[in-house]
Amino acid sequence: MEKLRSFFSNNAIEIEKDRMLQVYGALLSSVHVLTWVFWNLFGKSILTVFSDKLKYPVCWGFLENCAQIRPLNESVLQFLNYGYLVAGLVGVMIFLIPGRTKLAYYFFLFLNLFKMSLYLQDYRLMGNYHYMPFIVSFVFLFVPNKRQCIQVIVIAFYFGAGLLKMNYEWISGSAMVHAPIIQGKLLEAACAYVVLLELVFVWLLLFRKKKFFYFAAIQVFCFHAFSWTIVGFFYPLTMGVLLSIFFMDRYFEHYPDRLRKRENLIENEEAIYSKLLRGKLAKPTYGCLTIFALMQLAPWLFGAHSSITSEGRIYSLNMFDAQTQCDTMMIARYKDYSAEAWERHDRMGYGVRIWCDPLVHYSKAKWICEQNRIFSDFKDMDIYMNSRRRSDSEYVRVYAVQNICSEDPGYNVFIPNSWIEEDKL
Amino acid sequence: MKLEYSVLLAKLLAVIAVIFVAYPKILDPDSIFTHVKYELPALPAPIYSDKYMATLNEDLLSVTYQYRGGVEHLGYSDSRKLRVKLEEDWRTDLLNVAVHGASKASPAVDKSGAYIGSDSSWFYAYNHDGSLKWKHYVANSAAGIHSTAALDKKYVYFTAYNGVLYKFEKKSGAMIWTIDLGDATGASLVLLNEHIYTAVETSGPPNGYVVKVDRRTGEITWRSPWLGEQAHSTPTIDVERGRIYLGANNKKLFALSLEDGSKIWEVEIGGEIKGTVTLVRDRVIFASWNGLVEARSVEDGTQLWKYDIEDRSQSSATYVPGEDLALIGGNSGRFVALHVQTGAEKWRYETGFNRLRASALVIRNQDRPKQWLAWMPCAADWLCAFNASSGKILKKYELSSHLTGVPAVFGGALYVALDAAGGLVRYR
Repeated sequence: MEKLRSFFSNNAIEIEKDRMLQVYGALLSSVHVLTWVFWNLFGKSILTVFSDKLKYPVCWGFLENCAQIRPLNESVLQFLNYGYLVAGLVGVMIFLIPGRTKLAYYFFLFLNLFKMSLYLQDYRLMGNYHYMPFIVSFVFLFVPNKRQCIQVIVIAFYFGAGLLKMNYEWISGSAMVHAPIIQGKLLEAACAYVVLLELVFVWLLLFRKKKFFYFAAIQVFCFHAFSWTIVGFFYPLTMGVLLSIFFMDRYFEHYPDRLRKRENLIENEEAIYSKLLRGKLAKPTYGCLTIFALMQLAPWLFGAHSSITSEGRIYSLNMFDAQTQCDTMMIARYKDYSAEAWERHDRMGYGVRIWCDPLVHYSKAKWICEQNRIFSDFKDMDIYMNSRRRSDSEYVRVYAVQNICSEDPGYNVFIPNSWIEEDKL
Repeated sequence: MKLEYSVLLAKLLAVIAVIFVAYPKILDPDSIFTHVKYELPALPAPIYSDKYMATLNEDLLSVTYQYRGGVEHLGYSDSRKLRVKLEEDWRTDLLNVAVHGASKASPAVDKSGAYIGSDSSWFYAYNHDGSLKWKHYVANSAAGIHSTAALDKKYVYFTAYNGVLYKFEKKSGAMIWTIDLGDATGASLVLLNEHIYTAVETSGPPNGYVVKVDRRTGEITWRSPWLGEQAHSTPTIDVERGRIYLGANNKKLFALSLEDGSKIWEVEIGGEIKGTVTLVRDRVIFASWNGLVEARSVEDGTQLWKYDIEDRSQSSATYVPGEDLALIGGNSGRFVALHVQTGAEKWRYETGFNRLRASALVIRNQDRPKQWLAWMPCAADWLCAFNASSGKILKKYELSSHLTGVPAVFGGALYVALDAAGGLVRYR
């Protein structure tokens, strides 16, 4: 217990000693405010997923019976929802009050747990724009040498995203969720350039030389500014917050009471990139990097078609590497020989990344089974899905499960699910 | 520091090399820069059930019913007969709910029962005593089901306005396979040998194509090129010449190759073609929204004759074999008999029903086998048995709602599907 207390205390002290980290903590807290705006103004909130239109739960694979742990009362939901906004704002303020860093640290821990408790209520709330702030917040809270580690992890986000985008789907431009302003060859060239930016140029953010740093920074800025037109405000602003550490690390000294420009000094420092290559960064940074890299490998362990099966993707970045389209069908059968289908063109209010995720449709089927169990004329249900990546010319069968209510195959987040026909894709 | 930049440069080159080696398509401008062309949607695959595999080994089953009698859509039946005087045998509950002004599905009837889709999205299978055998609700089909089912000895095939083609077992209602053909399908199905043909609509932008689907597997054999607009017209097949004829909403009549769906010819008509083309010998007869009934040559689409029906028409012509007549109605309420060879009017009947969309069923009179009867609405909610030769009404039946499709006959009984507030009615 003492070790644990000491662990938390040491992390809090590191932030207490570094004014830049306090400002960064405030910015990370502001992501929660942005999250609230995103959830509430763009119909993605916990309130929405409980609304009549989407009243059935779509559970995370590791929380199959999430309906039972949901807060059921509307006023409780409202309280939690607005409580989250207030908590986000308080989190920002505490970090900015000098001498309140320890309180801010523990409050930030609470704030992340708060968000996580809402986030896990429904799989429809998932998104890369939450995954990355959660990881950075984890590093901010628990990993020493935060300045370095966060920068390396943020670069790893881009590199991981770049690797995911190394496919025809992305480079052809067909992974775009909305048609961007540019089209045709220009779009394809831009998509190829993004891969280059994320795999290569982004590393220049770890350089100390001004020309290299700004060479990368301006491109990253332009990339996110352009992406705003496609993905909306939340993603670019969140990335802006995460990226702010690169600027602050250049212009904030470690223990200043005031801001001091030190461009000339910094050019002579050894770059984090160089330290990273020479093994000079702190061991926890390499540990974080390794764990993050292993998480990105998870979908590959589930098979070569994770963009279609979605298995293992909860562990990894989930970028616009491939947009899937699917043909789904659910048939509920009744004892009077009638049958009712839910099928086709039915995105059911899901986000672009999950509308063809077998887990989503499995979860809906389970909910329908549960709702119909009380009716004596209900017999059983069958579910089917064919999918393709948008650039594929043909659909392929992903699953066909008959009698899912009586013979529930279950969903396993740790191993490939036998009912998902990954081997036939 | 120099070492650092060298390493960086080497890595950069290595990554680029890996990209190009692993993804050679990047190097092929033809493959990467051509995907934005306006191509047909991705080829769908059928969704199939456990029963599917067993069906693949079955012998090809004979067709027991399809829309308007056969692939030429002549609309008459030589083998089935019907008396003029019939009594209502039974009537089902509400069938259609009138979500759409177009013609609704007609019943498909054979030995096993009567099958019909409704614009409320339910597909029904009835026994001959009027009891419900099974029913299936199709989803995401705002206009429900408008197409008439096709039957073989064991299975029923139908499409819905959600663009999906279904194959169900007639006896149990079990799904064998379904395939998502496009955004909507209002046309009926045509069964020929091992394949199913139908017209498919897309909505963004409005367009359409014809598909040929394998009856056993549900897989698409070919899709025609874009027609240029949505097609509600059921394809008509000319086996002898290896062609398919149909019209579309872009006021064009098409002849496609039966072999691969490619266009043989297309002609401007001047009005949208909503009904089905009737193939009689060397000509196709059809009506359109330009107020004309026309006959055109199957060779190149040249006009052979035209008849002014004085309003839009989405009715389909029915052939009367002994008389060489084509019977057709128009929205003006006129029901007319035209000589197939010349287009001259032989007789006409003004129904006074200005939404006359139904097509006639021509069948032999059971009591006078040489006489052809034409079953067609003669007023808004009335069905009449006409003498097809003279246009004289032999018997009237009050329906209680509109008939927008075409009646069906089996076992000496007449099956009539009604629009809103009506059901499926059997007269015997």
